[in-house]
Amino acid sequence: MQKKSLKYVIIGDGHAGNSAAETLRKGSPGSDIVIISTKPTHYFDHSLLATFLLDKKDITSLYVYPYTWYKDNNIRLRLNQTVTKVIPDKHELILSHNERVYYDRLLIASGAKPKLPESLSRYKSLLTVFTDAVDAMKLREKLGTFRHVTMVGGDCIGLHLAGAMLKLGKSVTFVLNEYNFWPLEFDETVKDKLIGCLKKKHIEVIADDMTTEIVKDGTRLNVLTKNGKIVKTDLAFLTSGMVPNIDFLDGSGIDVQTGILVDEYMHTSAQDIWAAGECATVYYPELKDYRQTTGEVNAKMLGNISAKNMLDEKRAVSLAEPGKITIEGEDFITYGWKGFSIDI
Amino acid sequence: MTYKRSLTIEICGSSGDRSLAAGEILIKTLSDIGYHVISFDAYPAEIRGFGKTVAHMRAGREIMLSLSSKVDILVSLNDRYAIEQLKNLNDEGVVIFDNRQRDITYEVLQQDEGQTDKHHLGPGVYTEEEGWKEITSEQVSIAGHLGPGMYLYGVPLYQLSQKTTNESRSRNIVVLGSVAALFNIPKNEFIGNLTAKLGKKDKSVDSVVAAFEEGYNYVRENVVKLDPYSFERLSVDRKGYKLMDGNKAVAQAAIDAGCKLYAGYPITPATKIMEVLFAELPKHGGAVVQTEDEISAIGHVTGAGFAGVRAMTATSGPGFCLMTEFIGYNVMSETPVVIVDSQRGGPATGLPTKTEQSDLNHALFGGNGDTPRIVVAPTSVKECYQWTAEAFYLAEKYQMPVIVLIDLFLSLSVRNVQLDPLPDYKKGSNKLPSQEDMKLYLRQKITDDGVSPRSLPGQENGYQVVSGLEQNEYGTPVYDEYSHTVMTQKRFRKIKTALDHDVPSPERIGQKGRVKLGVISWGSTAGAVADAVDSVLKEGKSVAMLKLIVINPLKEKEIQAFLDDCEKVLVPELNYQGQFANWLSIHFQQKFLRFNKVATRPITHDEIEAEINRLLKE
Ligand SMILES: Cc1cc2nc3c(=O)[nH]c(=O)nc-3n(C[C@H](O)[C@H](O)[C@H](O)COP(=O)(O)OP(=O)(O)OC[C@H]3O[C@@H](n4cnc5c(N)ncnc54)[C@H](O)[C@@H]3O)c2cc1C
Repeated sequence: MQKKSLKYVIIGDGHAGNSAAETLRKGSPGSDIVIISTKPTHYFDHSLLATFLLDKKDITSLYVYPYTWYKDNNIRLRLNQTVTKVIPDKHELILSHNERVYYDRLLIASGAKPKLPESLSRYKSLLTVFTDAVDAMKLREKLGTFRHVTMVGGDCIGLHLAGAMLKLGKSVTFVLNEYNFWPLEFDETVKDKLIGCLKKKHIEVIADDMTTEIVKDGTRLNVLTKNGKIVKTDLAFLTSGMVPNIDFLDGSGIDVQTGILVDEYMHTSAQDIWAAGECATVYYPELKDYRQTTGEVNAKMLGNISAKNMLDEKRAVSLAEPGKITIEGEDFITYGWKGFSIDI
Repeated sequence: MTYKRSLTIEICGSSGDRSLAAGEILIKTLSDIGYHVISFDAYPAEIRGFGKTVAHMRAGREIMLSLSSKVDILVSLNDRYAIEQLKNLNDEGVVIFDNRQRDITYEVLQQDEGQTDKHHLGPGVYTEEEGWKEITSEQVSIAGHLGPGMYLYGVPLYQLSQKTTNESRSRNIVVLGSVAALFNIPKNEFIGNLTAKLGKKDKSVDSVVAAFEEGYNYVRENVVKLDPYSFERLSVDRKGYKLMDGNKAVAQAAIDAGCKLYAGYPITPATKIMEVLFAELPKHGGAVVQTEDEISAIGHVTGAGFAGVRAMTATSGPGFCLMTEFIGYNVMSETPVVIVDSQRGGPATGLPTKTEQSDLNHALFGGNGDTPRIVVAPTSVKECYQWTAEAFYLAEKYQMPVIVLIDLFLSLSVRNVQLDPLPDYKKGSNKLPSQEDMKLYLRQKITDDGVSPRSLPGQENGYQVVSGLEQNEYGTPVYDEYSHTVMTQKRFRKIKTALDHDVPSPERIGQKGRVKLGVISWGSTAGAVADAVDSVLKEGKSVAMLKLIVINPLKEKEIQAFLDDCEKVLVPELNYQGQFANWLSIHFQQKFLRFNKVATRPITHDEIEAEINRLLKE
């Protein structure tokens, strides 16, 4: 059992952060637990985002817990607040509004953000992202204004979104690049099978190519590819995979590679700081190697294990069960994603 | 407005933050776009340097007469003070704060008095009482103190204020722009009111408007609105409505009723009545005298009343006490005077900036001897106007003191009201002697209605002796049993006449016929009762309310009829003893349930609602 007076701060109100908070509260009923999140929305279920586009439900229908859950569990929620700096030596965080927040033990569960390929950075303002509840809310508001969408890259978020777009009667084109179908595990045969399934659903797939330019054409867009194709579209979604959201750790001295490096106990290189979820690059004893993690299953599991370690119960990680994504009745394996079906 | 019947907004800052000015512009704008509004600002009791100020307002589609206990939207211009206000915020309330403060601890130090050398001792505040107290930025930023269901919106108030006006003091204007954008309040109305408030049209006005626009645009471009609140323009015409507080309404009534002399001594919360009249009364042929104390003030007013001029004084509890001797004098000499008492927390100097309804005993009974007087207690700002005007009419007609009991809440709360013009006959009600009367003028002539024709100074043969002594019909001082008896009877007969001719039946609101619970209310608390009754009636509860404005004399027959209809009767009031319930107990054989508070703030409609529901369950 923990000493009563510790203050646990969690950066991130996603699967990892919340599962850690729940474990911490159970293991240490008297401690202070604070969750800080950039997003204005509450902890939501990403797998519901696509169906959210299809109906008129309130945004709260996406939320995993009612806010009273936090009240009942005495967990302080700080939404719409961004951590800009971590100062391990002082056990301090700095928030964008200049507040300094003290912690005894810190969990970084800041998730991931869409990867913007270097070559497309100039076109950022023309690309639409679909990663959270606010994106879904905004997209739903303008559903009536477009008919054709293009997925720039072919990650699972694109697949997930494509299901909803088809249901809404929109036509979809995928322009695949080297990040195709992240984070699916596959070889070339799987890729061909997947492309075949998408085509059966009347999705246009431009494979082995890549987007090089996006040009405004009146109210529409032209997506230009390396092989000279031009896709006329209304919306171009950035679906080229995700990268850990860790810019705010610059200068903190915490070791990072793709994500925050953590040992099998989810501990970072800095004292009293752990990391979990999509922001972490985890050492798996089974693999004797580090692996970038993604997906709800992983995030929850890693959040829980981090919390146990923060409570001084030594627990090592193990690999999560793979999940599957179903397209036209065919299953495709993912690591850590709970999985979904595009056949909605 | 969506989601709720009314929304309560607070703008909280330190004294220098001009949150009250922002509140004024906001309430005016909400009124202009069709909302009923009521505001009641809070400011520190101690008049010194810096302190917390809160502009507090409620706006809704339907008329509202009271405040809510809970706040829906809290705007922070000073997080340290606003944190204290969070306890009143609804679980799903909104907070707007400065999300780019330069350095929170530095700001705090700037805003506090005393030593501010943070480098020497670390972040903290110095006060004489406590010396240095260390403050962490977590303690002074509101961002970490919200409940989990609340919505936090950040706007870089300081930065945008600096950018547009080169100073941080326009944060109150930037935040108004943000409020407009967040809650869909039409921008043009806002800017119109903003420029009207600033008065002049020059470069500085342009920069303030720019500050507003920056706050507006920042929200439109950066903030994701998730809360359900908004104030769209309503299609109602509020052209004839004016925004005013109770003090202004009293002053306006005095002017419109033909008051020609106001004498008073400054006292919170009545001072503004004198301030308004200082500016306005001379334009209407009247005069204002600031006297050396309250005794002198009522002395002046008595003199004017004797001279046949409508005259008024206004004060608060401590000043009212000093006037007591003159109440008896006015009763005995049958001199019309209007005394406005804006009640505050007592006894003695008490709580100068806090509201209470605890001067009722004094208004009803204060003074030696049997001293009949009319006591009226308006329940809203509109009634402050109506009943102050009525007080002049009654005082003059019945030649006696009329006490208008308001309170700090009514005095200072601003509402949008439509005032009905006074009928002409209310403007002159002296019973003057006829030619017949003047053959042998009897100043204290015994009459059926108790009112003796009154000669005014200068009237030929109309001379009279005026003193505080008992008198006979000629006005000559006497001490015999007969004269004292008939004169006392005559003085009380005037009250009876007033009751029969000039006291309207109390208004009954709510369910007709028999009810499970009746609520009798008076003064400003009646507003909260009316709002609460309205709300429980919508839930189908068996409740009715009787609103009493004239507290003495009482319309006993009508009140009795109401009591007969009620299984139980509740009397809520803002004093400890239940002074009004006691007054009713003298008149009616009835057990009154009491709901007494000395809360230092108005009773809110939700408190009354909770009490009604509790009693209905019993
Ligand atoms: C559209 C979509 C659909 C998906 N569908 C599925 C699915 O069906 N099945 C599945 O298993 N997975 C799915 N995923 C993936 C899954 O949602 C993520 O892997 C998972 O959410 C990762 O959890 P996390 O806790 O690591 O991060 P997140 O859930 O992303 O949470 C990160 C949190 O960190 C906060 N944060 C970030 N930076 C800061 C900062 N500087 N300061 C303060 N707070 C910060 C954010 O506000 C957020 O609250 C989907 C993802 C998307 C985008």
